[in-house]
Amino acid sequence: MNTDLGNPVPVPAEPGGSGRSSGVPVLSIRDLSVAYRTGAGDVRAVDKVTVDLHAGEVVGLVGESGSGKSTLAYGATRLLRAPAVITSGTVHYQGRRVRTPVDVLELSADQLVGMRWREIAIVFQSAMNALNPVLNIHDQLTDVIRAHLPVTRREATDKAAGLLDLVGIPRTRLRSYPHELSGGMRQRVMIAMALAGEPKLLVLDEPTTALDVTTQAQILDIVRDLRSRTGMAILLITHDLGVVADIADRIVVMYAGAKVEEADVYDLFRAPRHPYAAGLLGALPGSAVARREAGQLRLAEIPGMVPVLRAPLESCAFAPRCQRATDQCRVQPPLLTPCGPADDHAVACFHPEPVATVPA
Amino acid sequence: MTGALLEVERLTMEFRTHRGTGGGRVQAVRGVSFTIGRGEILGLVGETGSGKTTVGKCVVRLLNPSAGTVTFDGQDITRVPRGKLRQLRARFQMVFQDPYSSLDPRMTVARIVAEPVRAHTADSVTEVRAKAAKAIERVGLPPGVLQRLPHELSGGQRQRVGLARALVLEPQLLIADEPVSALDVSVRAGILNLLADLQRSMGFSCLFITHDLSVAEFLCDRVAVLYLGEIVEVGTRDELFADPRHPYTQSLLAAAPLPDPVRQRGRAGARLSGEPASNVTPPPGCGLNPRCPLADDRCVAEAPAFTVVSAFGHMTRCHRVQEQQSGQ
Ligand SMILES: Nc1ncnc2c1ncn2[C@@H]1O[C@H](COP(=O)(O)OP(=O)(O)OP(=O)(O)O)[C@@H](O)[C@H]1O
Ligand SMILES: Nc1ncnc2c1ncn2[C@@H]1O[C@H](COP(=O)(O)OP(=O)(O)OP(=O)(O)O)[C@@H](O)[C@H]1O
Ligand code: SF4
Ligand SMILES: [Mg+2]
Ligand SMILES: [Mg+2]
Repeated sequence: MNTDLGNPVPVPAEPGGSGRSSGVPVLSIRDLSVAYRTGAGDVRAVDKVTVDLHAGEVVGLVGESGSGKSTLAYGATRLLRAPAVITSGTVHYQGRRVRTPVDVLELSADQLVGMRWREIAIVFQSAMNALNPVLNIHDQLTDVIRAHLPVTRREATDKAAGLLDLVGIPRTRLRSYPHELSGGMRQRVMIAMALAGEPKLLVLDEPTTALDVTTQAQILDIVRDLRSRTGMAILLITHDLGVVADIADRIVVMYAGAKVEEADVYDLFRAPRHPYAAGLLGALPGSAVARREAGQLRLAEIPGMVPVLRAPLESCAFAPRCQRATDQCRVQPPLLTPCGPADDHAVACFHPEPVATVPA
Repeated sequence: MTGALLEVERLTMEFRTHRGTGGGRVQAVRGVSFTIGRGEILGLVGETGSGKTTVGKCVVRLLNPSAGTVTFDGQDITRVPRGKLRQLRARFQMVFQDPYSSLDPRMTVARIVAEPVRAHTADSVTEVRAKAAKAIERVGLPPGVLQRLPHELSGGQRQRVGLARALVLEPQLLIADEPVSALDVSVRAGILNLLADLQRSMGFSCLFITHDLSVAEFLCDRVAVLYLGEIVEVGTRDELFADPRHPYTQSLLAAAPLPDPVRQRGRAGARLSGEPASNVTPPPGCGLNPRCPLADDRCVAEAPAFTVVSAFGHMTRCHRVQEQQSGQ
């Protein structure tokens, strides 16, 4: 394996930000399956998912709670621990110093250590509670910086202050302890930390859920800016379709561990094809006035829950909740198939009629 | 029954900070007053760090406020000793912001939900179990989850467990701190519908903390907007959303992203500029003045008082609004 991860060589940033997929992806996930080995048998949390992430591209990963979004992201970046096991697939990475694609799933523990922060960085779901309570922000940031970049103590302090500027936290907060910061501030510190090593791939798992709209808008500006300045590839996991509408180039919709629809962001919002994707758009609170005028007092729900899959599917996983389901849907699982005029739109559904959406 | 269930008056909470930050105090909550009627849902919205969680924690006395009073069902609970507080705790319960850290990872769901019943009643083991099972059913979870551990559940399921635990004693007041912020839309829709249904059937009052205006608009009867530890606007849901008066409320409504890429990306950036002011050294005058597009000398010189702008109690604290009102 030709991964010389020990010796950081600065690589000039490639201009990116066009959002168009081209060339070799930074991360190429192929047929990845992940199971949790539990006492009651395997939970098939991710089932043969394929996703490509290109430089300068933001891919929005959306889906209901429990659909396997975090498991997919952490599986692809080797962050899962027992009882999780990867049961199939490959994940090829090519980035800063890794010029020839390597299979992340084959890397040794040492090689993985070399990849973190400098190549792939992650902001975990509910990361804001992951800060060390006994260290102040300055010490936590400089620890990370000095562990991954060849800088002096002084330079690390300057860089830490610069990172706080980047996420809109006053520098006076460097000496604060995590408990003195609100949830949103702690989340911004975690994002600053992830950016410390200028990674080529950034995974953001629900990064703005704890943030108010003003701060969220600022964070999304930062992400946009980083993406176009550094050509970073970004996998953005979120349940907030407003965030996806604002920043993503492509959307991957997951349901019960599988990718059920993938499309350009404009195509998906204009005319979602999978009934589940259409349901997600319909569940938004939207305008309460419009809803009351329409006599609709409750929010549209997608009745039922994401199933926990223990055996291979012999039907469409969404069929029990789907209004379009027919006998065909109940006897075999639909395969992901290209659809629509755009060549990058795919859906796994036997009845993928486009649904015209009403503007919010 | 007369009066509001909860009356909060001039609530103030200061935290001492470490010397490094200049030896100041964090003024997290600065003289906040509001009431919650019986069976009413009051929304508390505001940006990160504005003091929402601190208000919630002071109300349930997880924090001891620096000043001000909290009156619950006619009783001043601000200085009630810990021992007595225990009895009262059964009547107000809190659901937390984060469904990941708020449940004990070593306890089964059955034990988590049963815990308040064990702590506050003399119920038999069978009764405790029955109440836990009923609470789990009420929040729409299958009985199978009772034997599971929190990490085996997804975020939405965990938040339902948190809600089941909070409601198992049928409290009079529920403090819900961002209970849906970590959830995706369809699950969120389910929990919001559930909360609305439970509120109607059980009749509790609720302080609903959220940074998401669309959620507040859906669920709350009245909404209070918090900025830098102070309430800047309060009104009925309909008035506040149809006619927001405070520049901060207006900017919040403008910054909420639209779930439509064409309209969202075509939008002019109508957001607040600059950083939120420090709550260690709040600006003199109106807290918003360093960021406010309408600020003038008076906004820096003196703090605005509340101006009533409607017959239904819609109030806001802004010099410019006050000038408009008196000019009419
Ligand atoms: N440690 C575990 N043991 C057993 N099952 C697990 C474990 N962790 C996750 N699961 C299950 O795997 C499935 C996928 O979970 P995952 O956390 O990846 O979903 P998600 O899409 O990220 O959801 P959320 O939006 O709630 O974060 C769920 O059914 C979940 O219950
Ligand atoms: N124990 C503490 N010590 C010092 N400062 C604190 C403490 N708890 C909170 N603060 C500060 O008080 C302010 C208000 O915090 P709070 O958590 O109430 O905000 P919030 O509105 O709930 O924010 P978020 O939306 O991020 O949850 C923040 O500036 C925070 O840093
Ligand atoms: S009082 Fe002045 S600074 Fe404050 S919101 Fe009104 S106009 Fe803006
Ligand atoms: Mg997740
Ligand atoms: Mg909070």
